[in-house]
Amino acid sequence: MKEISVAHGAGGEQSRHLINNLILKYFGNPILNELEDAAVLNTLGKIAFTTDSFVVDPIFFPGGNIGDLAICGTVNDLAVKGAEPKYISVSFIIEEGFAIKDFKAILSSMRQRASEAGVIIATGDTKVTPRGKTDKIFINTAGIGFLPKNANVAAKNIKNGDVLIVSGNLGDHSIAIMNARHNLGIKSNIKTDSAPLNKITQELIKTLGKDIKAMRDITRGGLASVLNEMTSPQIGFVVEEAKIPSSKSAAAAARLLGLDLLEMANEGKFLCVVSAAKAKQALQIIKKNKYGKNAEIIGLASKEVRGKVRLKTRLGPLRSLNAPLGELLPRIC
Amino acid sequence: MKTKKPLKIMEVCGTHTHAIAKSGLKDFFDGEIDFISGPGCPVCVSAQSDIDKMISLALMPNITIMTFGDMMRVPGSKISLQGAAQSGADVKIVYSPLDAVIFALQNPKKQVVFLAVGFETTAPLIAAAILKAKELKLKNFFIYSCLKTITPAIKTILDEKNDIDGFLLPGNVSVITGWQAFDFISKKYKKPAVAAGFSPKEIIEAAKMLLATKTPKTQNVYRWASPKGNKEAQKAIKKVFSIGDGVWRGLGKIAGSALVLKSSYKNFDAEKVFKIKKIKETKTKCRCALILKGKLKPSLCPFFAKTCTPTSPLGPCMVSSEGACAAWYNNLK
Repeated sequence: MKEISVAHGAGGEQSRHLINNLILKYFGNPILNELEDAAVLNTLGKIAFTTDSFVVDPIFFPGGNIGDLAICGTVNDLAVKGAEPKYISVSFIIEEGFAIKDFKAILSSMRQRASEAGVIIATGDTKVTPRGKTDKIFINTAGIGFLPKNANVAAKNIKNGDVLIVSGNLGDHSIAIMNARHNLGIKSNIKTDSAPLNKITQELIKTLGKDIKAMRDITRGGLASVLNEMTSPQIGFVVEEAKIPSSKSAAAAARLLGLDLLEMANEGKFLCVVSAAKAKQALQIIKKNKYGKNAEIIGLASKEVRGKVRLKTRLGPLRSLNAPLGELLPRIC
Repeated sequence: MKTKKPLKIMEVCGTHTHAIAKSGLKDFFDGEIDFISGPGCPVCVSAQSDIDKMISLALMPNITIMTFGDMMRVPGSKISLQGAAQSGADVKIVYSPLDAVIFALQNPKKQVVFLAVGFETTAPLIAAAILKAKELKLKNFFIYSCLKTITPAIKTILDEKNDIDGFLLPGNVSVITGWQAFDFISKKYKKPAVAAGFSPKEIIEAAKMLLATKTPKTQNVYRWASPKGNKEAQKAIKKVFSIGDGVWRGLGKIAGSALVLKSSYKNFDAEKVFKIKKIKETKTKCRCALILKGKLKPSLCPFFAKTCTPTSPLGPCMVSSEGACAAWYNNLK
């Protein structure tokens, strides 16, 4: 068996073979092994529930693959809501002819990421489409997380003077993907930053509780979008350009491509809004984790600039930081 | 040094417009320098009829359009290239014209047209792509040329009544043409000019030189530029292109301002090969004629941020991130 065939998704013998000999080999656990039509989960109290689909092209890129993103993306959506990610569902839509060795590589990454994040793959599905109807492989994941009693994470909690922390260097994921997608030939070690962030966020909630006002993972649209989404008629943000962390190589690549790191998607970074009193402690907690070692305080929530995001440039003047429009389009020269 | 009335400095190049807006340089030099944008955003100066022709080309069967990202959202009389792509045209974004040659080589059944938009900076790359396509004996690679040279446009602006006190010149163009190509600005028109790079530091250096100028001189602070420029690049341009008359949005027809494919390369000329019908220059409401000559500030245009925004632009200066209106809208509003 070298390739996925339509029969693998048809529900018969070959489907069972794919599930038993491949998927369960990688994902097996007492809940999934039941192979019932629905998983039965124990929950107590409030849960957080989210879903996301992954269609990235190319499916393999420096530092990761579509499977990494599918686990980390859903784990992080739960994590930044203050929840403890617990269960995850995985649905594959695969193009006929997809190489089994590539599928195994994806399953292996997903198993590793799920184990790192401490989530159980509780249920799933596999469909196979004829050639050309899917671009290699699409993955949908949904996740359930338990909400601790002291978690109250929402943009509406943000008050004047609250502090903004970015958990690390911005832009690496987008640059890695663009470099792989367009064969840009940028010779660098820039890799995706894809990572589960729940260990950091859980510790933030456990230690600082309601002082953690809001959190967002900095994915599509980048920091510029996330900040603009969190503004309200009462509150805005002032951010210092010089404080926003990025690696030298990602910043250089972005300049070369005529793109803005603040508009780029990341897969292992989040923005934390914390009360001023607990900001230093929050920064310490984030920096202690390997996925947060480059974290920095980048600015403040301010009622003076309500409804807006203002960026203090390196030269000193303030300018608007608006959400990007649609697809990031590189400039001519 | 403070001057009573701020110096009106025209930044010729779109990349400077973008850098000045992003870095807060307008505020940094507030009261000393009034930066005004010139005709150096390649997308912005493309004539409406050229954009309409490119779109009509995209809608022809079996054609793959390859373009720099900036062109995608530029409004034609009816739709943009992005709109054409949505209704089924095959439009791909590339980072280098050589990528389009490689695509043509790998897809011999497709007719590949590269939209050659830009100035002296992109012209050598496009010449190199054509020479490569010729060497490979490709029969399915073409360009639609809107290539322009910048000096005739500066002359046109200076021949009209104007209140420009000096010029910030594009370092990248100077690398190709040599910065002495701009000598006429000080010799004939008695205005100072400095060629500079694109980092805030380099722009500040050039701006301070302009502020300190007593007698008009053309100078250079871009470390990659030489007085005479890059001979190899100039040779490649001369081999493939001859000088013709160009139609500029807002500035009209300017003699000797276009790079036209020589007759020995006419097989690569999409306009001739695909017999694109003549399209009448349609009038738009856009005030680009005044904007591109530095006679109207974007914020004073009656449509700015009202009926003309980056999501529903009246003209390309609101689309390209190098355009004066977009730079103003995105960073200064």
